Amino acid sequence: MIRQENVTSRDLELLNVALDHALTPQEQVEFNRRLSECPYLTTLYQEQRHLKDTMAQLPCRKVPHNFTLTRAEARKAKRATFLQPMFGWASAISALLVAVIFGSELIFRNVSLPAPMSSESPQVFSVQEDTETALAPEEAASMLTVASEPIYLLNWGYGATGMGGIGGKGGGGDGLVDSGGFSVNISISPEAAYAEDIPLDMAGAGEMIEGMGLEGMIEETPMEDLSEVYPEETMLEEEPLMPETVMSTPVPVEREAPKIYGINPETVGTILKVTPDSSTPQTDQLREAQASAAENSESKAIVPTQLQIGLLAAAIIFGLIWLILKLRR
Amino acid sequence: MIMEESLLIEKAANGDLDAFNQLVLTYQSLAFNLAYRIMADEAAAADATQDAVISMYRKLDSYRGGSFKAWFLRIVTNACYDELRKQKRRPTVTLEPETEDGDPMDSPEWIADKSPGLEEAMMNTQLEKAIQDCLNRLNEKHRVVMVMVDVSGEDYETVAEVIQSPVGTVKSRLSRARLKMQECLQSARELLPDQFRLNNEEDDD
Repeated sequence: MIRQENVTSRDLELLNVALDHALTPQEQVEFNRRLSECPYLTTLYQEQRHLKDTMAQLPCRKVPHNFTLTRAEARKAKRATFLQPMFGWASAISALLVAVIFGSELIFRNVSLPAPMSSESPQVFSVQEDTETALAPEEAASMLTVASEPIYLLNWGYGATGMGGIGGKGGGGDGLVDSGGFSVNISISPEAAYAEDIPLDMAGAGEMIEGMGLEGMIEETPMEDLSEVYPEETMLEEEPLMPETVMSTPVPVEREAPKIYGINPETVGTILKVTPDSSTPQTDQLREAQASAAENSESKAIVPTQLQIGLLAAAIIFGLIWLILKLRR
Repeated sequence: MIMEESLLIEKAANGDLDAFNQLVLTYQSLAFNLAYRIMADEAAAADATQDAVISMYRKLDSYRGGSFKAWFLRIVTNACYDELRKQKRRPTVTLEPETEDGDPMDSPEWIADKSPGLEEAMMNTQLEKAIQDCLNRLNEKHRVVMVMVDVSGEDYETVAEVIQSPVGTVKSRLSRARLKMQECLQSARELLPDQFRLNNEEDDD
């Protein structure tokens, strides 16, 4: 019996090359020696030679028809060649544009966002502190005495993006510009407040009210008691006890004594209104500010939203057409 | 011949359809027979060849010299692979006539064959069918190499260029393919004429 294991991979390699008549003289000598040594290899060679000859004699099939192209077929073939890459490029460019626009919008918005307002502690705002926009004493006095709206003493919130976060200036009023956040406004009603003649500058009067009101300790502030709270030396020389935005130094003036509001002890601490920003009463000025802010944010968009959507749609449609053309080929 | 071919290629690349068609006529028989041996189906082979011709027309600009035949046969083999993939996705039912028992009827092609004797024609048909069946059982890559070398008679270098692999890969694939073919034909030797019974009868004794 012929032993198959005598045939090595080198023998098989030589055998195949021999079948294709591609042995070098040295390989031919080596192969002949192996054929004489191994009868199984000789048999295998004969069989493979027979198989190869048989396969080479397989009849050649006649072509069913000529595969030449007509002019119309050639045009169609070229058109398909042109269309597929065209749609592919169009899709890629549209997608790239969309990516660039979205990316730049994202970067632009991140850069222009203001620092978020702290929501951990309530923020105290003065009624009016800015000297530029301070009312004349007479005007302020008249407004305070005839005020029918609640007087906002305290406002805090989070998520505010408007002017309210700027140093606490403008108090609750500016805080109203905020949108999308939550705020708490504590106010006193005109009924809860009462006036007392006091020789103070009205520009600082409001702040006095607020500071006192928050502490909830003083219901009225007669002139003679002021020296206890603010000794004369402190009032004139030392730094204010509270931040400047909350407390300013009252300066006596020689004018008709304006009225100052105190807090009724029975109503101290009563929260009259806790409002989300959207329901907070707004003045015309604030509405205008909101409108202009909205316009600004619109005008900040580099590319109109419609164009962005159009580009996105174009990228998808072109991509689909490209895919269909590719699959049809 | 080569000068004429390169001239035709140049003209075809410049949009001369007649020159292109002349190239097609030169190689269409080779391409169709290669496709037929790979696909084992005349209609599928015709489709693959036509696809290859269209593909060649589109890609003619990208031809960068070398053996045009190898370049075209590469397109043909790729078209065959595509066609085989399509067939795998959409299996088809044969339309060949069947006997009352449901077995496929023998092809009546031998009746129309112009070869000398009826018996010889039948033998050739049986042999061809057996070989084709065994070819179909081979791995696609092995089948392509074996058909190109043993049926079409291409040299190793051309085949290596077609399959874009080294000559060593061609040799190893060919070696495996031949051994598998031999095993396959041995298992069906009862169907083959005496002179094509490859196995050594004495081995079994």
